[in-house]
Amino acid sequence: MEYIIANFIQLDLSTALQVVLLGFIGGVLSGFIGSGGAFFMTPGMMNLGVNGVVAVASNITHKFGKAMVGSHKHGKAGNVDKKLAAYILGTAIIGIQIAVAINSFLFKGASGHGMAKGAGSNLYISLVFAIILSFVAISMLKDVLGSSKSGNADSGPSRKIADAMAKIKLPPVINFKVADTTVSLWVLMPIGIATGYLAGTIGVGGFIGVPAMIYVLGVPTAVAAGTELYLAMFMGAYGALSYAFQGFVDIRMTMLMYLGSLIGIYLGVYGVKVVNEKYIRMVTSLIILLCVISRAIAIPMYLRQLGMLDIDPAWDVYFNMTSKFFLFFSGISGCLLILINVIKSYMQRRGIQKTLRVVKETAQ
Amino acid sequence: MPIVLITSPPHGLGSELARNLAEKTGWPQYSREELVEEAHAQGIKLSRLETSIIKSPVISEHLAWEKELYLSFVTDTLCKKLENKNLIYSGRAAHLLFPGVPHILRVGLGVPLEMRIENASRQLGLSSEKTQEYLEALDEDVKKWVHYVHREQANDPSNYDLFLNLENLSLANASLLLQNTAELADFRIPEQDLKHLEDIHLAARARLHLARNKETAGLNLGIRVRDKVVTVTYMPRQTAAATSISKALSSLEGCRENLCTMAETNILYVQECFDPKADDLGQVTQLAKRWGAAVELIRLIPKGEEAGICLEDIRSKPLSASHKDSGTYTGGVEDDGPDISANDGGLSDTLEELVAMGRSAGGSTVTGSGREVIHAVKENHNYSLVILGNLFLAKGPQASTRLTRELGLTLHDNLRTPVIDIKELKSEFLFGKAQAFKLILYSLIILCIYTLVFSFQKPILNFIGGDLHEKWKWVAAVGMVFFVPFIAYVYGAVSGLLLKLIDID
Amino acid sequence: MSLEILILDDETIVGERLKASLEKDGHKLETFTSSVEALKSLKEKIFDIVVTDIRMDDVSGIEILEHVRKKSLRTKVIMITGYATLEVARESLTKGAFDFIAKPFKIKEIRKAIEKAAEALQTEDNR
Repeated sequence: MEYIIANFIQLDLSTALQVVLLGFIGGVLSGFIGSGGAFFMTPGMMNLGVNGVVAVASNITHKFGKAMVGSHKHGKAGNVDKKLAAYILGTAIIGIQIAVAINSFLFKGASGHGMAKGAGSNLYISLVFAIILSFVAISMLKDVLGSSKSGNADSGPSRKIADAMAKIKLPPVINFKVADTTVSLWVLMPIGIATGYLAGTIGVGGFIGVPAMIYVLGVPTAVAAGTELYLAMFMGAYGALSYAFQGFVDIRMTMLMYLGSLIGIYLGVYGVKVVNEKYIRMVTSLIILLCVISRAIAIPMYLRQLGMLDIDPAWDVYFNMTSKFFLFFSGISGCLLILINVIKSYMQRRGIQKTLRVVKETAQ
Repeated sequence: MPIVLITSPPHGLGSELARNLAEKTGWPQYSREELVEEAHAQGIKLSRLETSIIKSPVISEHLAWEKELYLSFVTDTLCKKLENKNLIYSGRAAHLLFPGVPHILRVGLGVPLEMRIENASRQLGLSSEKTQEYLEALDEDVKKWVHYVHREQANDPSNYDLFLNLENLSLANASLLLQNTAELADFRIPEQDLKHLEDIHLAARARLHLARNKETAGLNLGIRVRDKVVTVTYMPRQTAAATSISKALSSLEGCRENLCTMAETNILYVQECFDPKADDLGQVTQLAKRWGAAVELIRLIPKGEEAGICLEDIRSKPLSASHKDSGTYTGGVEDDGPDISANDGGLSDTLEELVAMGRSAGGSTVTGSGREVIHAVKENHNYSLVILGNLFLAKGPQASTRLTRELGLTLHDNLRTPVIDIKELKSEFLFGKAQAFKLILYSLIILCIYTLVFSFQKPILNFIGGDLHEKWKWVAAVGMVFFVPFIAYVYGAVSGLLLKLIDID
Repeated sequence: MSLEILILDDETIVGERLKASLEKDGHKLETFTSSVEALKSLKEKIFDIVVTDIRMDDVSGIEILEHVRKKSLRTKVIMITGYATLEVARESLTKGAFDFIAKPFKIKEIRKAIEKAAEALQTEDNR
């Protein structure tokens, strides 16, 4: 790949359009799933030849701007617990700091030894990505398949862990009004650090933050999503600032992604209204799983670049192609599924809207 | 003719007090234990709702359905037990029943723990230590249960009219106090509130009726009754429901007519006076059409006042057919006759209009403020927007604005729904001239920025990551953090407006 | 592990359905519809797990629970009922019931409760 300057690649029209497409798909998915499309956009950009760190940095920056617009809306709906956000944020900063430090160390440390630029950090990001997201996808799938067997009786989130955690009364214990829950700071802290670390490393803190809030802290789902978006705004700002300070944010990427994502997100959110919940979770977990596979395929390529694996460099192209194929396949098919549903209901909505009225004389 | 609701802690003396009061007054008396038996006899299973609090693994949609069924069952059973409009009911969270119906005597009972331990240990054959453990756990359970079922704090004093502490007060004297209080004029339910009670009863019966009907059982429905007209809203995924609901309701006694509206969501529109021809209403229905939403109307009359201005409003306009026979101003004290709907601040006519458009989710009149509105709507949690129209008309414009804002905050906090003033509706949700202008302006800004950035890639990239960046690290970072949200905001507005233009939002 | 389980419910169908599916799991089952009969059997023998309805005509499930707990603290008692209140559920837990299942339930739920009871039995036995 040619570099126009420092860490930034030369953009041609086709790459630019692919980034817009990535943004659009990522937007639809993130609107639909409710938490970041970065799990799709980061690897997608890496497949386009963008360095891992730059992809992550541009994504965090992208997410930060988006969250700023989005959390304003959630705030109006009363779904943001600012106190909870403040506490998690305090601890998440530590996590982000760790992530940024590791990423820039790997990136800069590796380039000195004549190896491919950024291969170390690419490998590291891909590994963390694959491990965390396969865990998320599998537990989600298990959840969907499990609940489909037991019928609709038990389809709410389980409160078992949250109840156990609520028993930990190690001071300081804090009460959160909007989220309607009370937890010890010591339970909250690891969640904050983990969220921050993942947000900083692969740009998808929400995948850990939201379920952790729901299952561990016992926060209602809507409040968890709203609070996470609010949180993402600050975490994103912090992450963006840190990465921009290091000079890793490619503003062109961020801007191109916006072109697609901000339209996509509206369609995704609309999709949630018209598609049933189990289907949403099913589609989501499958898409994530395919993204994981796609990233895993790219791993041997980075291993070779680091000199840890002995394969023909000519194969890189094939690894990259397959990886890219999986990613786009998952994204595009998921996106199509959602969009088809959106269009269908959009057409339908015009037809059947009427109040049925039956008048009868009072039976007296 | 009072209704007395007595809440006592488990193994307190609630039913004893109720019995004592019943002996003194001759009013019918009923307890929660009997109610549970009755539910059993009618095949309504409560055990999941009761015990889920202990096991607390899931709060699911199905459980929410059982909760609504339970509340309807309680309402129906107690209404049937009313004799000469008298009733004494005692049991868990009794004082929270019939939310929003005024002039019901809501009593709390405080019983010393030792007394309860003695009581319970005798009944259950447990040691007093074990009993204490049992009662403490149970109190905690009840607290959670009340929070889930009634969405209220069990010990919120504002929900009681009277709280009796049996620490020093004997049961007999407590009952005497209660009798004297219940006979006060404040607890005589006026005619119009009895009508409201009848509507609440009909809504409960409609829900039970639909739950018992094979075709409509298990559907997640919104039910509202006003003046014996039952309005049911259902989700669009239950398309087949409309006809089966109407069919099922046609056999419901006392129901004058029924309406079924399919809605993805509901919009709550609160206003003091409605006018079916007003522009405001037009905007609301336009939004409802776009969202596939049904509109629920609440006519809010501030406490201690009558909505006199409404009538002025109506008078100054040509009277529509249904208004012709309602000539005289009654000072808000309405007759019981059929012309009751004529003086309702345009509510009936506006509902008619909504029905004609297929957007009605029912309506009601509420006297009071935010609290009363919440009581009236709290079992329906499917609102996506609350619109506040012209309210507190009798006050000056400034006071009215302030009160409206306060009401908005109360509703927002309790319903967790965005609240908007009708005046902002157009700019927030609809597409008009101002929006078109904004769209063009913002598009131009975006176009300029993108052109600039992509024509001067090299210097810009140099500044954010190249040699220049080395010198200006902080400036570059901070600049970026301000620049990106700006882009997101402006372009977000553009894409939002574009989609609004084609009715997707 | 194979457990000896007693099932008591005044509706015949409950015992039958549970027996059919739990025997597949390798447990030994005895089912009763009369609490008096069940009490007789409980006096003679110690079961690993007792599953009992709460509301029955002669002897209530709570009494069965009290009897079992008096005789052997090892036996795990699981209560099932369609008409439970918070008070009754809390009472049976205070009196030593292992778990509490509200009717209508899925067989899966009872199987889970039995698995949990089996685990508890195993850890107790290993101690």
